Amino acid sequence: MSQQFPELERVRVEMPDEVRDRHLASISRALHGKRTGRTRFRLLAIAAVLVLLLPVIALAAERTGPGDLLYPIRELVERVLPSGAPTTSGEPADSEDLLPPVHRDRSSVDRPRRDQEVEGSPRPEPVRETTPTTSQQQRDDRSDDHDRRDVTEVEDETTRPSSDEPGTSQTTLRPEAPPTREQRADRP
Amino acid sequence: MDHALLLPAKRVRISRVTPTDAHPLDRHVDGVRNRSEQAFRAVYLAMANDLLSFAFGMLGDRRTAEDMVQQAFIELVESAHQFRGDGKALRAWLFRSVRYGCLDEYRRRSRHREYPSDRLPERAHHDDVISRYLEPNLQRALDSLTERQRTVILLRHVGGLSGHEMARVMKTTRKAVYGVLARAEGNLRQVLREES
Repeated sequence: MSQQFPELERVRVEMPDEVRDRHLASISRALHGKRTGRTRFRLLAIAAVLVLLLPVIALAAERTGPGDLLYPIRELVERVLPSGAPTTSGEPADSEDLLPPVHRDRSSVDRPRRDQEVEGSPRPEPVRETTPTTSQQQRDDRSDDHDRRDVTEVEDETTRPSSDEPGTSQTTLRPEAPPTREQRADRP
Repeated sequence: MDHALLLPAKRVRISRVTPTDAHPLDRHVDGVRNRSEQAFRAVYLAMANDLLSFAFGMLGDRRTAEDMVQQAFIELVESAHQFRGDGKALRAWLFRSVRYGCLDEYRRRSRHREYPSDRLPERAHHDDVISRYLEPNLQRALDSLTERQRTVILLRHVGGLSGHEMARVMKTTRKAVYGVLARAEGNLRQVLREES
């Protein structure tokens, strides 16, 4: 009760009953249910930390070995990841298909293995142009044929066809490589 | 021989030990700390009118002042487990919480340029409209003070707080509070004299 300023008595008010009841109800709700907000915030914080930390832990576990602390995590990651993904053993199922064409092993295209030849099939003949070629071209052709032969093949000078006999089959110990698609197309 | 007679008499200072005045809220402090609904209810019933009057004088709007009081108690619920102190500290804490709410309301009004006196109708039809807002003369007189002066005037003359309690609310020293109070009383007295 201020005696210096009696005007300030008009500032003193009382809380209405309905407002008081409403406030008490909100206080009661806050007392019984307020922890959920804090708990929710803590859970969100833990989830954010896990989302950031788990990839780092997985990366760190890649280089571990048996007996290391993070090795179980590495096993778990390898179990979870799909089988096509490259692993440390280096033997993926379809890794060759994943590689760009420039890195493919061309030996399978240009030089088929001997076991792929069908028995009884005619001996493949090198593609020879029907038009008379110059001796240089013939030498180039011969060198190409020579390159295609197996490195273990013993060259027999007697069996090497002469340059003046175009179209003759080469009587060599090892069969020649089958003509390529381009060579077959060039045939008449 | 009695040694007690030879020894000089010790001068024992007898201090007047007076029991500290127990605050009405002291017995509820532990309950508040333990989040007891009964303790919170008791504190609310003891403090609601003083807090509402303080907020009403600060803001001039009763509805907003009621919201400030509710907000202060909600904040007390959130930080009850951290509260350390007695009944006087709890009372100061509540007044400080209401004061901070009023400061936030000032900032909000300054952004939106709202003034309670602008909302007063020219002719009042219902008592609710009259009692919701502070009288224009008194509002103008309080608006002539700075925020700190208005705070100490209301804490002292409406809330009935002591110098020590006001210093706790303002987070300053008692000397500083009394200095602000003296200037506030002088200014308010002059404005009210001009108004009358």
